[in-house]
Amino acid sequence: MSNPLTDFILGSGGIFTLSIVILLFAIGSITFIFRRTLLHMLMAVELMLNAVNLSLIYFSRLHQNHDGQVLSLMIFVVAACEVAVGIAIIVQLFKRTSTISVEAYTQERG
Amino acid sequence: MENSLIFVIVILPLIGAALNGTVAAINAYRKKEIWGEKFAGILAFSTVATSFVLSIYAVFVKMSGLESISCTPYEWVISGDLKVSLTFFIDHLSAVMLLVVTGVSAVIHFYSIGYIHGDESSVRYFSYLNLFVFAMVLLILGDSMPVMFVGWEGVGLCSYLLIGFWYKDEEKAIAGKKAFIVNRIGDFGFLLGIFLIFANVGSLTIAEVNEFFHHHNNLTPFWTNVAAICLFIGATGKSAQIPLYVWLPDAMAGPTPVSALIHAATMVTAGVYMVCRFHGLYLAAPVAMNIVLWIGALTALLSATIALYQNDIKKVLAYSTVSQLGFMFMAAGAGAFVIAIFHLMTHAFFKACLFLGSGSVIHAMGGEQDIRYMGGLKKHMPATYITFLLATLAIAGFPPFAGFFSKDEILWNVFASEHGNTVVWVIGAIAALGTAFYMFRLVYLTFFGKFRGTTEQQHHLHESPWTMTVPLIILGTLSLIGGWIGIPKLLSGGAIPNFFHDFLEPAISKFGHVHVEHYTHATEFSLMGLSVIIAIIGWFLARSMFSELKKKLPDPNKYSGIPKILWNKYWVDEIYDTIIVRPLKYLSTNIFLNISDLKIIDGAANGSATGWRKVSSLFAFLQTGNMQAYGFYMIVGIAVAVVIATYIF
Repeated sequence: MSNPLTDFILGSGGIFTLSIVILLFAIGSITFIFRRTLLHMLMAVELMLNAVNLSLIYFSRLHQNHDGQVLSLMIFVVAACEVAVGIAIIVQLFKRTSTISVEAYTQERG
Repeated sequence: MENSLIFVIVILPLIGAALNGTVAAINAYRKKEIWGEKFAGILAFSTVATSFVLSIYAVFVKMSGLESISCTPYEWVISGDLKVSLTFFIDHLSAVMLLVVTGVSAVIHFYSIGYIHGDESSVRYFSYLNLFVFAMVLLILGDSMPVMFVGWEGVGLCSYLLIGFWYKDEEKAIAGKKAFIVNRIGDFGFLLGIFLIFANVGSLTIAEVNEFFHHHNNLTPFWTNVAAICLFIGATGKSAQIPLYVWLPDAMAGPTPVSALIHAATMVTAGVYMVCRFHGLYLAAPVAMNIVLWIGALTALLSATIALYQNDIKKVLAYSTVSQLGFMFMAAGAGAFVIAIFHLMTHAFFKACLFLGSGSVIHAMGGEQDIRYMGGLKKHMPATYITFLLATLAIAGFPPFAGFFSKDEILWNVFASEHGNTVVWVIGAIAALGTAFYMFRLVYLTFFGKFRGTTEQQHHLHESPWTMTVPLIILGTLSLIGGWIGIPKLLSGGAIPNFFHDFLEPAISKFGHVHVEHYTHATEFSLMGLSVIIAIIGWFLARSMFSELKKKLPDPNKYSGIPKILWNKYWVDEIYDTIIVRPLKYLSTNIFLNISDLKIIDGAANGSATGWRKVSSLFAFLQTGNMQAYGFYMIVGIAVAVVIATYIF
């Protein structure tokens, strides 16, 4: 079964997919470092996770086995849990201090 | 699995202990009980009683015509050439022990149902008691030294738990601790003996050890004796012999059925059983045999004299137990292992009966244990009185009670055997005289004369419930007839076979024969007559002094001369305290605690902690408190790691 899009994605030696992965991961990490809002940072983390997921699925397809895909499903679950907990924490922080700027939370200074 | 019946015998008490123990733990945390003392008691009793019935079946049906039966439910250790299997092994020797232990245990479990009634932690009590039976059966049936040692330690643990059963009373908790620590000293000797034997024999199985020492002993006599003495040190701890007997009188702090079961009938006889079990080794070690003989004789004499002046009913019985154990070791030391086991059995009957009787008396007296405040209990508690009297006649050695046959044979063997000698016989005879005297003193002061307690106690006096008197009657009857299975050939003229001897002899005589000098029948009869006369003298002395008390018994603190020495138990506890306990405490506090523990070990631990704190403070500036900085470090770190992984490896 031939599909032009599939052919393109797999045929390009992974350049296309891996470019997307790197792009997504870079956007995520840069956002994490430079945005000051906690909510944005959480979203950036999700972006990085999904970049990793994509790479796993691509490599799984490349090597013709399903382990990577299974792993990506597990990462989905972990990510969902993380978001649930993370958002709950952020909501509580906002209720206490009326701000979700990361600069307001520097108690960890050594 | 072949003969899995034996496994069931062993495991049943453990199941009872596990169930009752779990429930006791849960009951302690919840207001509502899962089951109370009644069900716990019945459960504990029925597991042990079933074990007893199965033991009878195993011994008399399964083993009939065979030398031994065994069962291996589990391979415990397999490591190279070393193989230790969890094997349970019944031969004629362990068969006798098994029947005595499970039988007496079943009776005492039944008694406990009545005795422990009303105690808040009775479920815990029954779980300990069952655990004890399990450990004891393990000790008896284990065919290799490690399995025996596990049982050996297990009974020590249960003894500790049960002596300190009422642990809220600090004195009792201390008594439990003392028993445990003194036993540990003995266990250390036992362990050394096991190591020594294993290193030289190369086998852990007891039968092979006996075989080795009997047939191809290539060990020098010195090391053979050392091995046997090491094992005997273990026996002195467990069976309360000089120098480690001091824990047993204190162990009377435990509930009375425990004193009867563990500290009279079964656990304390484990040392005797062990020596008999290793008879192949002991017969190859004449010096060790002689030590066993002398230690037994001296212990018998020492504790019999101490018992003369004790006023606590249980203390008298405790010293009496130490003394009777001394008799058993005398028999073992004289090479008469069959007689040692015979006395072990009869002693289990009459001493358990005496202890349970004393428990019944203490019960009626509302916790009073001092015989100076008793008296005249005969008419208030007839069943207790009669059974107590039967057991007293047995221990004093009146024919035809059980103790007569066994004790007389011990004295005869000490006199006639190649390993015995006349001096030890004289010591044994004096100890027997003391035994008769202090036991009848106990009977007269407790059951005869006028009541000397408070009027409140007098109104309270009553016979114990049937759950307590039935075991007394069973054991009292056994004190009377229990010796009849071992009537010596001399008395019956061969008309009645000596069942006990015939049963046990094949298992014992396999590894060496002990030569017993032949004397004329007249000599034998006159010695036998002498032991009867000794018993009568003891009884007569006690009767003339204590049957009708003319004046009040003197205050022990005003004793002088020999009574003072005996009342203070030769100051052995004080001597041990001065020369062993206090120097050790001093050493522990001033050297081990203050110098090596606080300074060296704690110093090293604390020093390394402060050191690392200083090092880490150098890097503390990296912790800016800005979360995004941490994210940045992480990404840089990962990038560096990836570069290293790609280009360097």
